[in-house]
Amino acid sequence: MTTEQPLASYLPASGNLSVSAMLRGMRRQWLWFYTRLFAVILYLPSVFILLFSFNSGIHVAFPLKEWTFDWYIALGRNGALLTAAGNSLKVGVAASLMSTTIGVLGGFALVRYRWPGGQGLTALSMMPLLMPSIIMGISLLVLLRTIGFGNSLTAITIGHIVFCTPLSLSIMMSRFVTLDRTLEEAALDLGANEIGTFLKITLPLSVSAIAASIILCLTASIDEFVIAFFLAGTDVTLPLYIWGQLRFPSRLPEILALGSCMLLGTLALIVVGEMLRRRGAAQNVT
Amino acid sequence: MRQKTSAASSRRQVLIGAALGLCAVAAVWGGRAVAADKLSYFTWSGYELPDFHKAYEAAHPDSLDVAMFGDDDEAFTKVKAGFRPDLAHPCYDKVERWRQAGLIEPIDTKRLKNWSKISPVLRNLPGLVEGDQTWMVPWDWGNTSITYRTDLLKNPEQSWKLLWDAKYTGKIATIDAVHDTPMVAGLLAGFDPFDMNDDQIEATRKKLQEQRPLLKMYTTDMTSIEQALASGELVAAMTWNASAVSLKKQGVPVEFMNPKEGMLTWVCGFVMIKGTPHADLAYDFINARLADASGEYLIENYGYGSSNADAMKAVGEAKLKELQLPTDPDTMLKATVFTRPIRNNDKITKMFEEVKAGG
Amino acid sequence: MRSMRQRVGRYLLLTPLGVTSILTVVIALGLITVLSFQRTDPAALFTDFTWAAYQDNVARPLFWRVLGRSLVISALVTIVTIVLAYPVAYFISFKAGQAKHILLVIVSAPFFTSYLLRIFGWKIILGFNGVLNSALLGLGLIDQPLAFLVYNPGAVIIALSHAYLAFAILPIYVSLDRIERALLEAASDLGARPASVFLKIVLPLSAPGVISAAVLIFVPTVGDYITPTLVGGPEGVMVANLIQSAFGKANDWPAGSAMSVATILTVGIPLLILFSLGHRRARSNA
Repeated sequence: MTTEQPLASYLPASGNLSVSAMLRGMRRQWLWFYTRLFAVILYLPSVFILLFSFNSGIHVAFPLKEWTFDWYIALGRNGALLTAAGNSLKVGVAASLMSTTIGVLGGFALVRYRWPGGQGLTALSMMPLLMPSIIMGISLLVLLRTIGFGNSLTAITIGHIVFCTPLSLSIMMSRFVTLDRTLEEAALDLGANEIGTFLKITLPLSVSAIAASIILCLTASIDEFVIAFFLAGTDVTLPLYIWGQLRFPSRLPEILALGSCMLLGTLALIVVGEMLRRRGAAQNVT
Repeated sequence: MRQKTSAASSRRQVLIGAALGLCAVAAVWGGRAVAADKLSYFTWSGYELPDFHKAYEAAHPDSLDVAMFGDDDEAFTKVKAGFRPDLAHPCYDKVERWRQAGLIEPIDTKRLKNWSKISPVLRNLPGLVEGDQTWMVPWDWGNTSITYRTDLLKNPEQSWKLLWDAKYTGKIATIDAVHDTPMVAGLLAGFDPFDMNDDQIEATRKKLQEQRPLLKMYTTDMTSIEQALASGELVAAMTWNASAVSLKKQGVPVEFMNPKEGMLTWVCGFVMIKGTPHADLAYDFINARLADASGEYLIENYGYGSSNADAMKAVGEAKLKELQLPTDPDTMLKATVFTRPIRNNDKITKMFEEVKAGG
Repeated sequence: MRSMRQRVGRYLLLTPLGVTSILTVVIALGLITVLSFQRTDPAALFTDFTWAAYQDNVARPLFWRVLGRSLVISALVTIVTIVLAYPVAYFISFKAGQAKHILLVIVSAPFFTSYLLRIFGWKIILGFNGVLNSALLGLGLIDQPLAFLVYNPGAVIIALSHAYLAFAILPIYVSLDRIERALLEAASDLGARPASVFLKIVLPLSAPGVISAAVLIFVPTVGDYITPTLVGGPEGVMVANLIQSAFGKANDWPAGSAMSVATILTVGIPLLILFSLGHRRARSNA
C-alpha cells in the first residue's frame, strides 16, 4: 500500500535527513491544516442553514429570535416538499448511474480504440456542457414529446443523463488515457477475452474515477434547475419546488430545515459507511 | 490476487444489479408517464392547494395533476415549447400573447355558475371578452406598490419617485418584470405605459437608465426582498401587497404606499389550452375555484383579492383593512393603474433587458 | 470470427454515448442554428433565412460587453476554484490512505443540498445583518454594516466558486490518483527533492485532470443565470441572463438562438481544441 506512506519517506537517508524531515513535517502540516480549513469553508453556508432552521423568526438575519423545532414539524407535514426531495434523489441516482455507465463505456472505447472521427465524437460529446441549459431544455422537450415521453420524471432523468454524460466522460477519459495498458495486455495474453479483461482489470483499476463520476453527476443532477423546469410535468424536483417557494418567504424556514436534514442525512451515511469499512478492514486483517 | 478477483466479480455483480434495477425503475416511471384521465392544471407555485377547489376534489377525487411555474413568462415559454396542460393560470397582461401564439381557446361563460359574481370591472376588462368569446376567467388580483420602512424613511412623499431618489442609492430594489418596473417608469415619464410609441419607449429607457445605478437589485424573489427590508439593507422596494402584510405580521415597521400616480393592479385567471380533451373537468374545476369559500381562503391566506365579489364581502371589512385590500373593489380598481396587455410588449421587454444589462 | 465479434463489441461500447451525443447535440445545435436565422415574427417562421437576429442582437456593443464580463467572471471562478481545490485533491490522493473515498464523499456532501439553499447560506454570511458584518461590528472594525458584500459580481464569484469546488476536486483527484507511485519513488531514489518531484512529475501528470476541471467549471459558469439573478445585482448580469430572457420574457427565440450561437462559438471552439489537445498529448505521453 504505497499510498499509505508519505511521499517524502522515500527520500534517501542522507546527511540532510533532519532538514528534509522538517520540510516534510511542515508540508504535511500545511496540507493537513489547509484541508481542514477548506472543509470549514465548504461547510460554512450549510452550517448557517442548520443554525437558522432552529430560528423562530422567518427572517434569516441576526440576531436570532428564539429556538424552535417547529419548522421540522412543519416539514414533516409538508408532503409536497418531501416528495420533491424524493424525486430529486430518484432522478439523481438514476441519472448519475446511467451517465457514469455511458461515460465508462464510451470513454473506454474512445481512448482504447482508433475510430474514424474519434476526435470529432469526443468534441461532440462535450458539447452539452457548452449549450446554454435553456437550449437543452427546450430542444429536449421538443424531442422527448415527439418520441412520447412527455413531461415527467423520466424525461427529467433523460435530460440529466444528457447533461451529466460529458462530466462523466471527461473524468473517465482522463482516467483511461494513462491507465497502465500492460496489465490489460497481460490478461489478454493469458487468454482472457476483452470483456473479461475490461471487467476484471480495467474496471477495478478505475474504481476511484467511477466513484468520482457518480458523485459529481449526483451533485450536478440534484442542483440542476433549467432542464428540469422544461421537462417537468406534475412531479417536480427539489430545485423547482424551492424556486417556486421563493415567492413565499414564510416557507423559507421549512426549506432550511429540509436542507439541514439532507446534510445531516448525508453525514450520517458517511459515518455509517466509514464504520462498516473499518469493521470490514478489521475482519480482513484477522 | 485471489481476493482481488473476487472483489472484481462482486463489483461486476453490483454493476449488473444496478443496471437491471435502473431498467426496472425506468420502466415503472415510463409506465406512470402515460396520462390518466385527469385534469392537468399549470399554475403559480402555491396556487395548487386543494382548499382552493374543494368542490372539485369532492366530485372528482384524485383527478387533478398540477404542474407549477415560478412566473408566467416561464410558463408561456414552456407551453410554447410543447408542454400541454388543460388549464393554465397566467395574468391578464399575458393573455394576449397566449392567444396570438394560438395556445388557448375561448371559454364558455354560460357554463360558469358564478360568472355573474365576478366584479364587473374584472369581467369587462378590454380584450378579455371579445364578442361572445372569453379568453380568461379572472380569479385573483392584487396590488403592486412600494413597501418602505417607516422608521428609516420618515413620511416620504407618496410617489413612485421614491424609487428614483438618489438619497437611497443602494437601498432600494425593484421588481424584475416588464409589467412592473418599466410601466412605472413610463408612468413617471408622463405616458400611458400600456400604450407607448417608439419615442415614448426611448424616453422610458432614459428613465430606467437613471434608476439602475441607484438599485440594489432587480428581482422577483420576494423572499430576498422581504429579508432585506427586514434587515434594513433595503429601505424601500417595489413589492406586492402580501409582502407588506407579512412583514407587518413579523413586527417590521413597514407601510405599503399609495402613490399619487396610482398603484399597479394585476389580475390573473384561468385560460383553457387549445384542444384540451378534458374540457368538462376544466369547467368543473373553474366552477369550484369560483366558489365563495375558495375566494375567502385566497384572501385570508395569501392576502390577495378574489375576483368573486361575494367572497370579498364575506371576509369582512376588518380583515380586508388589515390586508390592505379595499372593501369595495369596483371603486378601488377604477382608481389604480390596471396592468393590461402592453402595446409593443416585446420591444419594451427587450429595452428593459438591455437597461438591466447596462445598455 | 473473434475479431468480428470484437468489433461489434467495440461498437456496442460506443453506442450509448453516440446516441446521447447525437440525440442532443445534433438536435439541440440544429434547432438553435436554424432558429437563429429566422425572423422574430412567429408568423414568418421558416419562410426565409435572415441575419436579422444577429444584426439586432449580436452585432451590438452591449452583447459583447456582457459576454466579456461573463468570460472574466467565469475565468476568475475557474482559477480560484482550481487553486483552492488542488491541494485538497492532492491531500486526498497522496496522504489520505484508506480514508480517501470517505474524504471524497465528505468534500462532496455539502453539494447534496440544493444549490438555491446554499445561495441562501451565502446570503446569511455576506448579508447586511449577516455573519461577516456582525463579526466585524462586534470586533469594532466597522461601525456601519458593509452593504457591498452581496448583489455584485464579487458575490457571484464567491457563490460560483463554492458551488463548483466538487467539479475541481474530483477530476484533479482522479488524475493524481492514477500517477504511478513507483515513478515518484524512482525520482526520489535518484535524489530529486520533493518540490521538484512535485513540479516535474506530479504537476505535469495531473494536467489532464486540471484541464478537465477547467472545462467543467468554465463552461457551465458562462451559461449560468441563476446565480447572477440571485446575488449578482445590477452589475452582475451575465450573458446567460440575456439568452434566458430572450427565450422567456422577450419571447424572441431567434434572438436567444443567435446569442447562444455566438456564445458557443466564442467560448466553445477554443476550449474544445484545448480539451482534445490535452487528451491527445496525454495519450501520446502514456
